[in-house]
Amino acid sequence: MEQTRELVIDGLSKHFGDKAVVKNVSLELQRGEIVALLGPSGCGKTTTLRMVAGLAAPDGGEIRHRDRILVSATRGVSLPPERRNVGMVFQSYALWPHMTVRENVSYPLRIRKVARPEIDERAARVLTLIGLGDLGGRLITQLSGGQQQRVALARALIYEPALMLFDEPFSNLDAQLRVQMRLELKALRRKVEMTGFFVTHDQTEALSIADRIAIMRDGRVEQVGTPRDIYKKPATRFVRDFLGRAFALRGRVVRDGGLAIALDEGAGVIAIPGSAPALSGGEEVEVSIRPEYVSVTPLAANAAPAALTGRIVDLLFNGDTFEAHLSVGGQSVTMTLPTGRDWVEGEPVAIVLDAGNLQLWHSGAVVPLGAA
Amino acid sequence: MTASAHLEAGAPPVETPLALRLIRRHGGHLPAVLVALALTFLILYPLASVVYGSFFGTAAKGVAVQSWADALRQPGLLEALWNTVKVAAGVQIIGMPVAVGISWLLARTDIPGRGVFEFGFWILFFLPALGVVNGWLLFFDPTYGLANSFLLRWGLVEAAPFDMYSYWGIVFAHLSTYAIAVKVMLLTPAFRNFDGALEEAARICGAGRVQTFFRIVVPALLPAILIVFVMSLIRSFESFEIELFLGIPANFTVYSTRIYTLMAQDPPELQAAGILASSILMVMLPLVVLQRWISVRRSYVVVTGRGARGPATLGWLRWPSCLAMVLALGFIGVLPLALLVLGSFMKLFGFFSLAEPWTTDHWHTLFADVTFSTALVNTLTIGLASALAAVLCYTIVAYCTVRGRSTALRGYLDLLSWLPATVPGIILSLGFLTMVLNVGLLRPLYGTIGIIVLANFLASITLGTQIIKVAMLQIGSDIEEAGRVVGGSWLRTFRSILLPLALPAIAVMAVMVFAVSIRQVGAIVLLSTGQTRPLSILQLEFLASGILGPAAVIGVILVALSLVAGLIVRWIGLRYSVQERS
Repeated sequence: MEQTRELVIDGLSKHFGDKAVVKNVSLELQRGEIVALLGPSGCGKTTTLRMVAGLAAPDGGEIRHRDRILVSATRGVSLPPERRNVGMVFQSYALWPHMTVRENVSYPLRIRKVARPEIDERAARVLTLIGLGDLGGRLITQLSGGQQQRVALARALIYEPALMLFDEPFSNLDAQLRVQMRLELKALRRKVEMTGFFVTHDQTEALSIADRIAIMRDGRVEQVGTPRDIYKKPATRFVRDFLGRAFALRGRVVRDGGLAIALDEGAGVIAIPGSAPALSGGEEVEVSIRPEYVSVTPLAANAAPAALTGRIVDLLFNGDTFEAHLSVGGQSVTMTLPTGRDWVEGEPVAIVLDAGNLQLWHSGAVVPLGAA
Repeated sequence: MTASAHLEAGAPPVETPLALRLIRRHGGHLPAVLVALALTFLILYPLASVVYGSFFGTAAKGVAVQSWADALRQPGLLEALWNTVKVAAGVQIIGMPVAVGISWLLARTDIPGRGVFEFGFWILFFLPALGVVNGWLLFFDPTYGLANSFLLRWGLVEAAPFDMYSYWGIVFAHLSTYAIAVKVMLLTPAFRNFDGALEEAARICGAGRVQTFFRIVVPALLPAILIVFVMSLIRSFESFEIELFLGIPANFTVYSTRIYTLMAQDPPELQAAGILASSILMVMLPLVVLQRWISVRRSYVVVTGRGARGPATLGWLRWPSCLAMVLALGFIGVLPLALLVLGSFMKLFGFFSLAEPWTTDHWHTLFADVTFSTALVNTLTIGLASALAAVLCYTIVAYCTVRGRSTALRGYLDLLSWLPATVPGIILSLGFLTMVLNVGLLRPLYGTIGIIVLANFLASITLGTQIIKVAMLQIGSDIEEAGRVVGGSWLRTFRSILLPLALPAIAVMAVMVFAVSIRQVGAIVLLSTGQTRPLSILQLEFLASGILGPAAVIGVILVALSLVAGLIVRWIGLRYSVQERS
């Protein structure tokens, strides 16, 4: 896909009273790309989306779509929402209760004064596309939550807006339906080109739907990147812990030839493949890795020399897995263990970390690793 | 020693009597059944006797019984019906759009002082109409009204343009008392709950502000507007005292005042009154069914609970619209009350031109007058007794409606407790009168305070049970079940868990019933006698005979009592309502 800049958000800020909810946010959208705005509630992601839609006015900064300025606080320009040509799927769906499914979906075209036969034809097409071809005559109240969700999507798609905005669209659905809607959205994107933002507080949703993720916290963008990059190489501790579980241990820097981190109580030494000139020997650092890159085995006499040693303190049976709370050199970490073997509490284990996926942290920030 | 120990000791098994077994099996239904039976009698019997009377009159009076068709040809009957429709139409056609506009301003915009204004309309709804209209006379009386004399003095008009004693005077009196206020009270919360995302979705889809308002907002709010409209129409048949006081001098009768004059004749024309009442009930029936249908079906509910994000900004119109609202509320709320107080201190009501117009004589003489003190005692007795009866009975009715064991019975009770709100007071009054005259067992009630309290009891039952019902629904049955599970009996749980939790609502209800009862006119006007007459009826009699100064004194007293009641309700509401916080 060619890289064309579709939307530029430049230094956007917004205050509610004294409280700054969006602080100098800058983001770019490429054509055909969906970027998830991910963060805990109150981080400013929805406000950012609403400023793109024209439902909230920024106090500072600018939003441009191709060569159109949608809003600019400095130049005092602001297009009303109806002239921005964006589509939006609301958290509450916001379907109009006094209209049928078909009327809801065709309303945007009626506003655009499209000819009646074409409206009917396009409404039928988009309803078929989302799998509600035969429910056009229903009232909104006669639909299930999932069906309402689809109608909301159809209403946003029908006029082929330049931008699609999703405001936590699946958060009102139950877990099963949510997974299904993710799949359907993915399938839909193969048929229809969509560029836009997807606001969510659900990291799995963001990871599985978006082409890129912008993690927001306290009104700022903390990190932007592809789901895989951002998951494997989080830039901040907040991103690391928000996106999933981390296997993290503290230790002291050891420099004898290479770089290594020694754990307390002789639990082992972690060799680091790379150099970190900023760190001096004896300094306390944190080593972290995603649990998928950790293997835990029963401690045997012939354990790999690079292995750390630990002990299972608590074991919770989850059906398909065990949740094991391990003690490693006096520190506790949580791991998921396969059920193929009968683990027991108190059992000593050997722990091997995949060196290629390690990250070093010093006073809350990632330590960049140079070539060894 | 426990029951099982008895059995083990070899006590002979006793055959339980059938009645006892029935009570054990169905006993849980018994309270609800008794309540339903009592209510059915109290509500349906008066109505039935009105309809019966319209066909057969009362045999006792020896008045010739006519056919419906002949009776309808009596002079004035059809005209009274037509006038009723005219007043209802005038009030609704003006009141509805005004109320929709005000509610929209209060609920959906950033007009300063929204909360205060909403409270203002709520207080307005609380005020007794007669006092307010009494105050208006100082302003709009055809001969001495201030507005008329002002315009005449400045030569702006040739003849006095305003006349309270006219069709338009009656319409204005309705609008300035409760007609607009009650609509604003009902519409504002509905408008506030409207999900602002519906508007936003329309804007995003390409609709402009105006288009969004007419194509999305108005149609989506239409059910709420419609139900308020139907309720207001039903309520407009309720009106009596304004028409009696302003209409009779203008020779303008509506059905309710006509019933009153028919019954005031000697001998009373029960049949004609019954025919008028039955005709109105027939006209109302479709409205009543429609209202029930809409409210039970709840059609499409726009309420999402999420509410709107940020009200519409009025921009530079903010302060002008705030000012307009202040002036409007000041005009229809504060002005007539100020005039009423002034009027109670005037030597000759309305004559500001006298050399020494002010006096406290009305207050002195009235308080020395035994008629007045009897009426004052009656008013307080009736108010307190009605509130007490309400606390005792509405709580039980509401409880049976919310927690009764049988769904069908619950539905029936709900319908029964809702029905009286739709029956105009004068018809209720007529029905009660025929009921005590016809049922031997009840005849001793005639001419007592008891029958007035009973009429008030029925007139307030809808409002009262509704308040308790809402509170009990919010308390939730699990809280009560928890009380049972830990070992409390039903009575103990009711007393120590449900009642304390519902207490604020019960207190609010008692005060409201008190306020409604002391200003009650229509539902009791045919039932009160010289001995049992409360202040509201005495005030009406004064007004109807042009004794305006003393009437103003009573007006001030009733308005003051109502205001105090309103403030108490507000205070309890603010202090204890947790549910209103979102």
